[in-house]
Amino acid sequence: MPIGSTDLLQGTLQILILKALFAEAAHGYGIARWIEHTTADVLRVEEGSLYPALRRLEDKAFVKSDWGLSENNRRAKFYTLTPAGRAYLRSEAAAWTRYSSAVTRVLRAAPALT
Amino acid sequence: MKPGWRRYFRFLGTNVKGEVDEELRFHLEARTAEFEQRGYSHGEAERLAHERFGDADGVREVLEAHDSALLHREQRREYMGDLMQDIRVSLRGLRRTPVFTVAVLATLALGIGANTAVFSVVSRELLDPLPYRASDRLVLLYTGTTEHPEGRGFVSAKDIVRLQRTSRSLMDVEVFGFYGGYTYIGERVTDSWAGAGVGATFFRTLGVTPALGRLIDDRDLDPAAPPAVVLSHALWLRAFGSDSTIIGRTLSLSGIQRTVIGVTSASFAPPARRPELWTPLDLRPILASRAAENKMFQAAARLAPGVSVVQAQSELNLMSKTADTQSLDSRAIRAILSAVPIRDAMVGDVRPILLVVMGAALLVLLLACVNVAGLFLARASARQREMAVRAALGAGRWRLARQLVTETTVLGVAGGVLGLLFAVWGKNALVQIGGGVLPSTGAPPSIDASVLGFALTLSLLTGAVAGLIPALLSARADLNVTLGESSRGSSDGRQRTRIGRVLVAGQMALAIMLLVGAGLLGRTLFALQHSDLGYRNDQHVLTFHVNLSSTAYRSPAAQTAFFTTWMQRLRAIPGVEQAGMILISPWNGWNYSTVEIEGRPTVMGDSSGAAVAPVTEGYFSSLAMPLRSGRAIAATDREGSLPVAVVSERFAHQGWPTGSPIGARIRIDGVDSTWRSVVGVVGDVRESPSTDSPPAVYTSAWQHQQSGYEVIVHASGNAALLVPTIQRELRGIDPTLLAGGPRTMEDIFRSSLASQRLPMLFTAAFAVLALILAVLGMYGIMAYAVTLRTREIGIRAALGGGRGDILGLVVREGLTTAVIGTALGAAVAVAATRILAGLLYGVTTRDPATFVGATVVLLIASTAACLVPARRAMMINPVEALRAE
Repeated sequence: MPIGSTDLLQGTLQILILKALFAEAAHGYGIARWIEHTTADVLRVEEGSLYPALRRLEDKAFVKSDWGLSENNRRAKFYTLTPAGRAYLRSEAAAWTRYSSAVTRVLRAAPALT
Repeated sequence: MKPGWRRYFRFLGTNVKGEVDEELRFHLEARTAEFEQRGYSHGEAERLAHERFGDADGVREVLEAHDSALLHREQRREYMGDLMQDIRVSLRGLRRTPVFTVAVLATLALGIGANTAVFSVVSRELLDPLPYRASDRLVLLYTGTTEHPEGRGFVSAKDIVRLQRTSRSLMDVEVFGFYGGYTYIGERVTDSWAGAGVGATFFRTLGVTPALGRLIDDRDLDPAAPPAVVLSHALWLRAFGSDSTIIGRTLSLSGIQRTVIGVTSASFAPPARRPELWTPLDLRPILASRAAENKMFQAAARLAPGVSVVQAQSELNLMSKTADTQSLDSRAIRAILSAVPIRDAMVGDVRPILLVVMGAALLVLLLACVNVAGLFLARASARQREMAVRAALGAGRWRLARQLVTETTVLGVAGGVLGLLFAVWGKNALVQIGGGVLPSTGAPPSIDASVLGFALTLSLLTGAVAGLIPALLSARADLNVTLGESSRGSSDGRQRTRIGRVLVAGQMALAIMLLVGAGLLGRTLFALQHSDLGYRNDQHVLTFHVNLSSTAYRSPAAQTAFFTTWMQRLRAIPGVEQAGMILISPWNGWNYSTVEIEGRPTVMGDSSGAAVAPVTEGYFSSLAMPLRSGRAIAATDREGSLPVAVVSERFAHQGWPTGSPIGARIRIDGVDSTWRSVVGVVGDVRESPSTDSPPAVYTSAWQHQQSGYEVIVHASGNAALLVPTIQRELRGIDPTLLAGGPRTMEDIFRSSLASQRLPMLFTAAFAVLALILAVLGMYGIMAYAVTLRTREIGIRAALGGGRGDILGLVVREGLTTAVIGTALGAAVAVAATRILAGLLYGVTTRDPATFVGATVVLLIASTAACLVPARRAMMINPVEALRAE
């Protein structure tokens, strides 16, 4: 079942975007596609909210943008992770992992759910 | 940092809307393509892509708002960054050329400082509200005449009381100036203080608050009340060390025990003269006496609600007309009362003076501005290559211009800060010199917000204008040419020299205007100082006053006895050549009365009557007033002998145009009804150089005894040195007496010229400053021209041009500039000096001698300024000059 953005926590979207840019620069559409692909369409970003989130990240200097050419030679705005964004992603990822494993432990605790 | 042009043009053509649209369109189109690949039709794919995206319009709006806010922020940051960079570059450049920087700073500091100092005084005297309650509704009352409605004579008790009773346009009419000296006898000291009688409502009308106790009111006019006195803050400080227990103490003032009821606040400055103490004045007894019509009081009033000064004046005119039919006074005098707004009354005389000083200061600043522009022009040439290189690297023309304007503005502001320091000193000097002239003297004016604002505005303006001139010229320079070849001898350099010469001509024009102004005011002062007032006014003549107010001298006989002894003792003092007395001297303001000639239907005297003064023997000779015919007042003209009078030449001429007045009889209104025989004619005297001598009548003081006189002593040496001896003699007769306010006539005359000296001194100082600046400007541009033309001059020398020819060439070039500028300035001055007309005396606004003199001074100074670079040109070695290229 895809999860709508209403369910997707604000901070979570930012982490997804930063992770999408971790390997290489990408345009907005590329980021959306990467998230769909990687989560096998489980987390589907509502694309409208993607761009305001990118602006917020840019304001915080976690990403920066430049106009470039897309795969099919169209002008597109590419976003790149900055060193600050990279550091932020690492710390957020660690926090997220701790949080989710804690929740997982709670759910696995006896008695079993099913 | 990015190269200049990219930094500069980064935002050019930035299109927030378009970029947001493009980014979102790319997304939607890519998604549409994706769906099409999956097999949807184009329309279906588009619909799905939009559905997937959500509220595209909403997102677009959010992004556009965000991006344009960001753009503005960055642009601002970029601009400030550029500005900071400009300032850094400026400071670096200025540090590299310290002499230049100091010269410019000094020029600007003097210009801005002078203006700020003058403005601080102008602001306080002319702009700040007066320290009285609703001061714009206050008027002072004066007696003028139908011929001279602007006359500023005092008013009579009768007029004041009539206005109090009947005026509908004026309220709170009150007497406040009945001036007189008070002799204070304390435990240790005896002193003479200036006092003024005031009515019960005066302090309340003006809204004056006491620093201590209370001020004079109705209670103090009650005949049963103990005599009261209010001290000025200054007197309280000086004589009583701000002792707060002073209230309730009694002081012996001119023989009367007065109780101190209050002290005025430190900031209170009365609207006319500056007495040190105030006593209650009741007009009722005066109204009943023969002095009812004597014009000896100052009065103030408040305009009734809704009434304008013009309306009040027309009521006064009407009253003066109806008064005509009632009193004898009016048959000849036709006096009219006038109501003058209090500010006009207080600063009316000072306004033109201050405006002239302010105008002169602004001319100096303008000159300084042009001067600095010239300096920067020369400097810009020296930095032409730097500028060209920066231009080639992509710095825009405007960007380079901005750099120059930033430099001059930095200098302007720095000059302004220095100027403020200069102004703090300057305003004190201005107030010190102008002390006697400025109405609200006392503490010097403060550098308040408006003065700071003025200084800042001037600094920025001066900096900007001084920078814009060379900046605009630099922008016109052809950069390629400059880079490609040396600027020396290029047409560009020529153009700069030409423009530099225009600037120098401008400085010459401004300088000649100031020189002419200073010259005219200087000649005025000279004419005043050497004008003949009709009496001796040097250091050999001393004046002071002696008042007998104590009860011991109630009767005229006792007074006569005292003054007879006193004159004998005074004349016996070694060093005293001659001595005499007069009731009120001309320089302290004549008393005017109408004079009737026996057997003639009309009364004598022109519109304002004749000046009348009782004098003793020795008065005329002490002042060296020439006796034209008959005899002077003699010691034998006593009570009981034939009543006599001596008239002035003017009186004699008006009364007896062909014959002699000797033997005729005259009667003086307001004194008594005695017919006096004219026994002599003396020379005319004038109160001050700028006034006419009135017809005058002198009576014998012994035949009309008064309780106080001004004493005139003619000494063989410096009369001021006699003061201690005179005081001792006076106390020898009566230890409670004091010679009040001793001053030499030289001193009195000097201070009477203060209002002419003030603008003269400052205009002269500014003119000297202008001359120095203009000469330096001339020197600068000629030195620069010679440097530019080194090669040309070298060629001329090589071709056999004589050294004298080269010298002549340079001097001729400089002088041509000077002559053109001077001629232009003189032409403007011919028109502009008209504003000085009211301040001039004995010289016309187009005085040829002044114009010629100023021109000669300026041209000689200019020639001297050209000679230095001309000599350098003369010394140019042709071989080196040509090789240097």
